[in-house]
Amino acid sequence: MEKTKPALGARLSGVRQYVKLLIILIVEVAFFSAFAPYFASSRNFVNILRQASEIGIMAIPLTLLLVAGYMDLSVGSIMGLSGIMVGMLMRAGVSVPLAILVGLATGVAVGLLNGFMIGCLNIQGVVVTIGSQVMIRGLCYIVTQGRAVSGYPRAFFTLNKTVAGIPISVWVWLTLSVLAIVVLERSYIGRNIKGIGNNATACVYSGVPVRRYKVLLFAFCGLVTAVASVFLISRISSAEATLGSGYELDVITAALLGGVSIMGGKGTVQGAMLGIVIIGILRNGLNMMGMSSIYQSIILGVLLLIAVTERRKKA
Amino acid sequence: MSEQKSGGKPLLRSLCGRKETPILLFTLAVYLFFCLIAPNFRGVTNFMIIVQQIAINGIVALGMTIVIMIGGMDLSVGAILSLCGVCGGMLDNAGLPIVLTVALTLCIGVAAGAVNGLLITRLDIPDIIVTLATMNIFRGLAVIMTGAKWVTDFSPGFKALGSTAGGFLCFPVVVYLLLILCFAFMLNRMNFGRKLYALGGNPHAASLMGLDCKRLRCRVYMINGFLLAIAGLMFASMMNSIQAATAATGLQFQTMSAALIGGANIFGGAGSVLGTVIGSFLMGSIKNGLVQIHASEYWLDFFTGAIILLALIVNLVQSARGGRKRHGKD
Repeated sequence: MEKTKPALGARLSGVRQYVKLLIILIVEVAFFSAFAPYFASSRNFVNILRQASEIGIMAIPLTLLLVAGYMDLSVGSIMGLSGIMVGMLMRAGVSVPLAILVGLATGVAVGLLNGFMIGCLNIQGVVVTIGSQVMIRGLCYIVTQGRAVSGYPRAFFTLNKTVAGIPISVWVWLTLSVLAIVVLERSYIGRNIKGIGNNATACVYSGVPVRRYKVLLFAFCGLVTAVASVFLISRISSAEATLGSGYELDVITAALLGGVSIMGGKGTVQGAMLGIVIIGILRNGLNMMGMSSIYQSIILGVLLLIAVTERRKKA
Repeated sequence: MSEQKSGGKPLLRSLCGRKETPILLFTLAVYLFFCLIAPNFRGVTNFMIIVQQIAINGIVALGMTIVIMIGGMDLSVGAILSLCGVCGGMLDNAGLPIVLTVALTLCIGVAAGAVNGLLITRLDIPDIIVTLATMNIFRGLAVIMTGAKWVTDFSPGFKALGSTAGGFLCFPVVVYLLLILCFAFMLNRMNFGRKLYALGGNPHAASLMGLDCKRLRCRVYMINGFLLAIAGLMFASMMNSIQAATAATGLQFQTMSAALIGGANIFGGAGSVLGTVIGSFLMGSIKNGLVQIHASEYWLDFFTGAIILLALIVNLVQSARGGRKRHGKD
């Protein structure tokens, strides 16, 4: 390596930020293995990963957006609409690959709409995506007329198969996160994204096409969310108008837990993925112990506060 | 913080200069549009109904305005409202006199706000993260307290809090109007309000100026909690029952959009009571109008979202003009 290595201290502090997350993870696993029946089995772990994979896939572009200083609150609705599109097309007899393509295109279209309003018209991202969240959710209701869409062709459920014992969705999740980590940490694209998150104005002056980055990031977010949506409806084999509602907060919670800064400029994909796994295990373990979802969300809230506080003190 | 308005300006010119003008015109256009196509929408009676419908959300939006103004964000408003509504209802069910019920509930609201404020200022965690966490925690507390049951069977005194009898003089509307006046006075004329603009516009400069930013920030969240307690009591009373898990979910987004449509800036330093009231009214008229024209409820969300986006674009007109003006001065 010709590159000058950062000082030992800096590298250590880079690792240190994950130490607490890893400790939380280990404590969680140990606790649930001891107290939750059926928790510690390879089948359950595969199950946890499968359930976490959809939110995990969605968290990847959202992390990139957060690092660039933006936020997309419409991902839950995008997930709903593209899933419903795929489901309705398949039920209408359209071939599976074509239906999936249209579903992905739907996601990209909504992402472009967000990106256009935020990037080209310069409206605040949070507000735009609240607006499109409501609007797209409305479209979901209009398209489905409130009825669940189910009854898919058999071919569609090949997406549920496992390869080497691990579900396809998990493979896609892993591949995408490795790609995103490489892009964010090792390429000029990642450098620009971090730059935009730190100081967008400075980036404009140094020749970074900030507007194009914004639009493309939102479009990418739409695309990847649609991918997650396809896996979700193949797992639960039905799509209804409420599909994916509230997911945006889960994804953002995971990213924040993993150390992504809400102010932009700071954060890593690997951190966000750790956050996803921690939340996934927590929910699964508490379910196994028969704890109601209300206690789960309280514990999640407290965990979020603990994770953030400690990190701040060290900084 | 200087007063830009000189008193002698002609009405029309000062209207053109105001930040709220485009969104006011847009709201009027939407209102007139519904008047034209829906006979039931016209008239004073329906106007009154709209005002009654927006009173609760409007009160919460006022609190959201000052929170956003100082560069904060409160995702936990729905949860605090639910917690306060539930507490108020249960205290009332326990047979407490109405005055005591209200007083205790207001204390609970302020306390919940203080929890947010203290976590944000003392532990130095970003607002959005704290309120994301407390959203889960407060909502959870409310559900646990009620054992996931409906809280209902209120005393007549409690029912009066949200009663819509009496038209414009019904309790929620009167409280809403009073709060609007208080907030307008506070933000424009009182030291405290001007400090909030300073804090939101540039926290660093504000602290150099000698403002105790942490205390200010904390107070804003406590005021917000106070408003949420009022709204929560009215919510429970108006619906005549409250269910902790489902009450006012999504309220944070509705009130945030009302404030932001009204010209608040998510990065702080901007926003006005008038703008937020217009924003609340716009959202209320859309909802009411769509019901009046018998739009299928499935179209409701779609139109609401589309009009929020449209309103944002309308707001652009004004900021573009402001930008030109600044440019001209340079």
